[in-house]
Amino acid sequence: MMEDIGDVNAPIPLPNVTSNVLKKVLEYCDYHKSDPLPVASDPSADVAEEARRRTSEVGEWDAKFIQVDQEMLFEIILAANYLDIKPLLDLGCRTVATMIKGKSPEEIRKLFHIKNDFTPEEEAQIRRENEWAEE
Amino acid sequence: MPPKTKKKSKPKPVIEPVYVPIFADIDDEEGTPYTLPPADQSEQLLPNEIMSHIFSFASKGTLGRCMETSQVHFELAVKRLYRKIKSYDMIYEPGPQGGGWRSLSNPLFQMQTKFRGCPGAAIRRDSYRRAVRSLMFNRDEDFGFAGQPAFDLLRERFPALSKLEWTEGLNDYSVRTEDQGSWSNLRLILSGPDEFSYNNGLSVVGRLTATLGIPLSRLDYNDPIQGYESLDDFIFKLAKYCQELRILSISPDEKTGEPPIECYRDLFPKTLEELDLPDALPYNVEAVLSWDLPHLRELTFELRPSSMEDLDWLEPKATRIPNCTSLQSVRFDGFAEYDFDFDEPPEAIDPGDMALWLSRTLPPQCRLAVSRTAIPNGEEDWARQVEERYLEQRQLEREESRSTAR
Repeated sequence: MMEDIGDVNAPIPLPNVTSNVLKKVLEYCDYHKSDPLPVASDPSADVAEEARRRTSEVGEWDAKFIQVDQEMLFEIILAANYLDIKPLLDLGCRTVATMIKGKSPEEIRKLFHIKNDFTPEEEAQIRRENEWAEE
Repeated sequence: MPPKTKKKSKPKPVIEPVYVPIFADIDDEEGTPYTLPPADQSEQLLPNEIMSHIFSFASKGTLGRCMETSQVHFELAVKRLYRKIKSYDMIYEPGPQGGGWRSLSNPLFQMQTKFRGCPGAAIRRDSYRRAVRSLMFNRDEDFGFAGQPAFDLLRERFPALSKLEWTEGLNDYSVRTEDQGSWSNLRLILSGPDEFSYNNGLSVVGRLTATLGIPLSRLDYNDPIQGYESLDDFIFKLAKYCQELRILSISPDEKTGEPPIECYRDLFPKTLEELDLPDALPYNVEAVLSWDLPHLRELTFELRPSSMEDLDWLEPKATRIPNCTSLQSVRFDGFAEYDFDFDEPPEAIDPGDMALWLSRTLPPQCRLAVSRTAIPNGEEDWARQVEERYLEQRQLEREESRSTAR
């Protein structure tokens, strides 16, 4: 992230992050400040790391930390994405993935404010094709 | 990400929107940067790149439902979904000639590159994707999709492609479509009973049928799972995909402690037209013919020689009342050449006794053909004699029937 800034003396603009959210982000960073940083190595290691990250369990503190309302959760995700804090982004996205588990397409649309642009025929077709993927 | 305008040493690169084909994405390593198609995000709470990241944590079922929410989310979720399907490689690169699948000479690849960067060209509708998706998701009875341009392209690219095979190495089973021009036969080969455990068994069914997602029209089940404690469960799950089965080959082997053929009853749907019972017992034939199989036209079976000694197969039984009124043609392949138990050639069984059993077991309208390779004890004429005696027996039945009617 710092490399992206270029000029080390330039201020970092945070126009999309509110103070409440920033507070949460800082709380997260403060707690995890001693965590080892993910080391970028060869691509295959990255893939393995990615897989591990996806299957690893959420820590107790993180689980408690991320217990926020939906609006805050989305804002934390946006802030983590903007500030390039990958562990926090993962935590938020994983939480949302858990939230949508078992939800119907309509409920998912409502949650994310997604506009349904399928025709009824397309929708039916996709539903048929997806039957196999059901858990 | 913070704006890059502060970096003065390098000019900010201009990133044009690129429509990345779904199946190109499959080849990407996880985390490879990509640009997503633009979407109307005026109302959507999270941008697409974050939605995609969320989907990376979602299960297949959840992704399936996300695919139903909107066109953009279909694209995002389907990409993640395909990454979770480990079996696509075999479909994607079927056979040694598949090495050039992604090469520029591949017309399908050319087609997808043509779509790259064309605003409004929804890649989900292109033929390339349809071709591959059809292989995975076609739910028609026939696995083939002859006539579709996509299929033609696939055949054109791989003229020597005669079968599509999917193998799960550890479990040593495969699903394949055989050539025959129509790609209509799907064969399931299960082998190595000790290579199946309870959990693997379930996953075999789940992955086999779910991944290909098609009802089977043909099932070869010639190596039953022996001693498989959850056979009922296995058959129950497999049977869901056998409801439109037309051709079945099954070899229940009660002599080695297998469950009786009734355990496989669910693999015998009413749609069945052709049945092959290799290495069967007389009772297996009798039992199957007592079931309601209104479309069964052809039956082929082979008996084990020792089974004719062990069972009181000449005694009339209630189950010998044939129920298959549609059965027209029966082929008796004789006896298995060697008995597993004694490793000896099959004993000669009196052709008259054999014909008697056949006439009692088979419906009266059945034509009988006995394989000329059936030479019990070296009696060359045995097969012909059985056929002749069978006809005589039928004639006798007709005469008895006429006299009873009078």
